[in-house]
Amino acid sequence: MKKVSIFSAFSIVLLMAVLCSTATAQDNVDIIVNPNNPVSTLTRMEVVQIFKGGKVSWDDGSKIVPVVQEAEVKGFFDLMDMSKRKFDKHWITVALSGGATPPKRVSGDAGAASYVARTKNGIGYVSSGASVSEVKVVKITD
Amino acid sequence: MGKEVTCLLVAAFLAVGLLVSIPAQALEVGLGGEDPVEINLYGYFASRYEKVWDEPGLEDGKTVEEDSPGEWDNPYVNLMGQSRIYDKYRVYFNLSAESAGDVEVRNIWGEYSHSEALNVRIGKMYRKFGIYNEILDAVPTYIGIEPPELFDNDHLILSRLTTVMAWGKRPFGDGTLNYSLSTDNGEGDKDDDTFPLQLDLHYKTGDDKYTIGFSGYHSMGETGSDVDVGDGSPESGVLPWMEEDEFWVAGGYCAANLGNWLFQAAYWHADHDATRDADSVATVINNAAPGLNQNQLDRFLIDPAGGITADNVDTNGDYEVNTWYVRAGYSFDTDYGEIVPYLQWDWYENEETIADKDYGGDNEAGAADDGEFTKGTVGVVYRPMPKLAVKLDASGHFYEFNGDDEWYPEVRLDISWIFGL
Repeated sequence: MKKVSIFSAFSIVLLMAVLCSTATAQDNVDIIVNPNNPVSTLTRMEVVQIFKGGKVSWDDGSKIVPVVQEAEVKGFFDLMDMSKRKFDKHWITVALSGGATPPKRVSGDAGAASYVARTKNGIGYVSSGASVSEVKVVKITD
Repeated sequence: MGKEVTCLLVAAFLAVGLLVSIPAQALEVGLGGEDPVEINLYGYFASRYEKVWDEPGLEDGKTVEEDSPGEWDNPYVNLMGQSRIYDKYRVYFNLSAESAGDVEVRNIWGEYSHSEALNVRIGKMYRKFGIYNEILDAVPTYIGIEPPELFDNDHLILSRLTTVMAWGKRPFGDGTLNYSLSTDNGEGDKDDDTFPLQLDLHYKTGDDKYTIGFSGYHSMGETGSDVDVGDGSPESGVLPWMEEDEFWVAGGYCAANLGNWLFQAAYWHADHDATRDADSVATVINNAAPGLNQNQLDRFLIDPAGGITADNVDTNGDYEVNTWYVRAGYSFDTDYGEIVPYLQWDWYENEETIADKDYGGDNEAGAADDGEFTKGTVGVVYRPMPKLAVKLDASGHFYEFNGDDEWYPEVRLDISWIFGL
């Protein structure tokens, strides 16, 4: 009986470890777009390029309008594979070199959702599971 | 005639784009959260200190060492602004005032964006050339204080500025292919018939980890210097004692961002098919300080033992310039800010230059017996916050001088604070 119990406990712990390891940055943040945007799926690389200013147009040629949150949302920077500090430094480099200016900053999930909902070509992010019925959450693939 | 046709074609292209795009975009005014016109002002203040010790010089034919007084540039400011007009148009300017003195308009241009694949920019802008030409004014953001030797103001291999540039990018495999083509007013073009062309082509992987590229420039004809003899260093890449010079510059570069590591490398070659102006060369030889070394006299004079007269000047001024650099830095992200120690190694050779900067030379390659020097630099950048950068580095300059291998040290400190971003 004791051996079965130990085996069960070990199996439960192992299962939990496996489940936790499959949790990705995407589980902590939702990428949102305007509900009229036909895009429903983006690759992680596309998301990175959009928020770093490398990809500036949707497929129909319209200009992408990214928005970021003032406070740090860890899941977003995990998705970007860079710290907030490096993200800010990247945009400072772009702006001081005559490139685009940094994305607009808004306050909190509600601010991001509100901005994207009223901006035809907008894209932003909110904490995973946030109540944001006015926007569309896109699926992120690797 | 070629330049006039080009300007007319570009102006016509922009006019058509404007007429086609504005009515459609005007319908979107008031829709969405995005303003049709957006204006941003930003820039940075900076202060720099430099000090050199034991720089070799000549006195009565013997090598002597001199310390230069520390130079403190305090402050200089760059003010930048850009305005986005609807989705398709952008205007940008970059004003610089060194030592709180005269204001220089470094950049001012307008851009029409047809798509990611095609953007056209007109005005005064830095050409896309290598890793650094566009970002050199963004001093707080990169490792190192001094630019790569290719863009050192004392010995610019080509002009940093251009007048018309078409650029774009296209997806290519997992990454992006970036390209640009530019032309300018052929600075120093005495006959107004050159049509310089410059191309940049580089590939970036999708994760921005790797960049590899090629840049090239051709004067597309004989041109002259943008400064007269005695008026300082040229910005056009053509030495002031040249009657005419047809030249090209080409090279490759690469960069890797691997975790917290940054690696960069580049190599550049310039080839000059040049004719010296005999009177100008005689003026340089008679007036440039501290005088020309024997290798330089052997190049400039038909008979080095003969008199310094225009008749004795060798007007064949063909020469080459070569330079390369490697840079490496590692970023430590700490609770107190970002700390980036870095190393740099630069090598440069220019067989035609002289030491006197007032006469168009430079006091590095021009001071060397063979026109060649290397420079090793070790430094650190400290950014307590992204908008504040403190850089400190030290270099050793190594070259052959007066028949011996010499070196001297230099220390630089740069503090810059960014505003508006």
